[in-house]
Amino acid sequence: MSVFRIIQEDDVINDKSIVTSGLFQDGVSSITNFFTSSVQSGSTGDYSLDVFRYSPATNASASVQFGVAYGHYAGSGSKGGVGVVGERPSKAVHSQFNQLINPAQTTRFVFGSHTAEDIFVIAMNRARIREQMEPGGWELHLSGSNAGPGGTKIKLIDDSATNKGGNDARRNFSPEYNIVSGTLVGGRNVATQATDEGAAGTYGKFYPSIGVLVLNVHRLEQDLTDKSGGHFKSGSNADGGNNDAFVELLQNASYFSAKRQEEITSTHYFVRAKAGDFNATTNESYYTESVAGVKRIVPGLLNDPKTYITTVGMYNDSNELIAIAKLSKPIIKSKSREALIKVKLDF
Amino acid sequence: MGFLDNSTTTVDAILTLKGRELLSEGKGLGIVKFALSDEEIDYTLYDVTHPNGTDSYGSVIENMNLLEASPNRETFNSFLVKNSVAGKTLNVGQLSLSALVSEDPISIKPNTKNGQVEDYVFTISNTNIIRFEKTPLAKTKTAREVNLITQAISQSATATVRVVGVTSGLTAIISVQVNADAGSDTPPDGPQETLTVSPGGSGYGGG
Repeated sequence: MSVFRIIQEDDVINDKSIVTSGLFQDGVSSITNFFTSSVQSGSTGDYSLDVFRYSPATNASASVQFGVAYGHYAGSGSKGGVGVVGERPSKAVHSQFNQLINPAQTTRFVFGSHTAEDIFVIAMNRARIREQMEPGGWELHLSGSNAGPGGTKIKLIDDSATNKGGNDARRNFSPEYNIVSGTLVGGRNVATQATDEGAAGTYGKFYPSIGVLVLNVHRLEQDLTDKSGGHFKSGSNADGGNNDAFVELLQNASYFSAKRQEEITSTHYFVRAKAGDFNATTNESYYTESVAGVKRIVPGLLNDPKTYITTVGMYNDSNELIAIAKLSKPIIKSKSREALIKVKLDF
Repeated sequence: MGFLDNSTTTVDAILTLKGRELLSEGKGLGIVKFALSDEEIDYTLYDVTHPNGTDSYGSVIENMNLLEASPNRETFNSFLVKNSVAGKTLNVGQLSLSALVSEDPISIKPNTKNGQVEDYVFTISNTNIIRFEKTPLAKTKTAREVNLITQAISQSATATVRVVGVTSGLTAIISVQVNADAGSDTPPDGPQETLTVSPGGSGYGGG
């Protein structure tokens, strides 16, 4: 008999499972501090701002959690224009996400009954979301400067709890969920459904597969009324500083929770060491060897053979070692003991 | 009255470099068999004089913490088998070959003394240093015997060939040291080209 044992067909089980985990740095699912980098904001900050959990100025391990960007369909809120010097970053951002998400021939995002001129985008860092953001697993707070008791704080979640399968509008990505007011505290509680929003439209759209939240600026400003002239500037050929203003809203409210979601495909192999099998070994320490080269089993194991399983090797048809499973402690094997080991291989 | 123990030991497996390579090439892993090993166990720790009796003879072994799996493995040092290999030995000739130069042939003809005639799994640790004669990109070959060819390398280096008896599980490791070739720009520790051997690779006089 060979050292290899054939794995029977019914000893192999395949399954898929969804694994969720905290999305932010250190594996946490919520953060309360938001920092930007002066280096990044000084170079590409007109387009988007990278947001960190820790200050990149003082913490070398600080990594980008997500980016925020302001987009306007005509380029307002940033310098430049058609035939005018300036890079029109807000136009570039709007076009970028419009191209990415909306079908061809679409020029603006539509949030409920409102066709938006401008948007805010939160784009999660790809490495942080791995496969995708978990629908119904995030909550974002935004607040103006008077966020204290009685002040305005918007709590946003998606409507995946009630809007099963997402919106049916044609998009380049699915599913698409509405961003609604609500909280995850005590379950996914939607305060106002997207269909009940007024002329200012819904709060935005959420695309879990690409980790992007598109927010309706017009709807946000309706709630955030504590700043004279509005929080966001959409003047023509003028830098509105809107990305900084949005980070301020995050910093005022001090709360963003999110989880990522991965599909793990596992194969389980049931490895059976039957009573009469594997009771001997090629391990040299199992034997004594005389000067003449005669091998004998060490005393104590000769009459009652015992071996210890430490490792399971999984092989292909060419006897190539494909996977290894190590036990945490040796398992004893003898003629009176069988061992059943479930080897789990994840992809 | 207590509850019966219905637990199954569950362990997580990791892919070896070979497994990762197959996955990256879009090929299935093709896992069809398993082997059990008792690596890390020193049976001389089995203490038949333990004062607490027979149940404690193996307590030193049973309570040890094992090392984690390493992906950089191609075989094991020892295997659990059905029958004792007492009295059997694996003879592979010289266990150490040194000062070889490029394109030197090496012939390995193992023999299981006092055991039945069997095939052997030959595994080369580094194909930049030595290769099978007929399947130069393979790292593993199952055959009765093999022929190897040393390669031209820019620095002197050593590779191993592990030989495992398919039936007996007996293992031998042959060390092969190859001298630097002045005309070669192949570093021995550079990336290795490999090839998956198709099943049924056993043969006679192959390599």
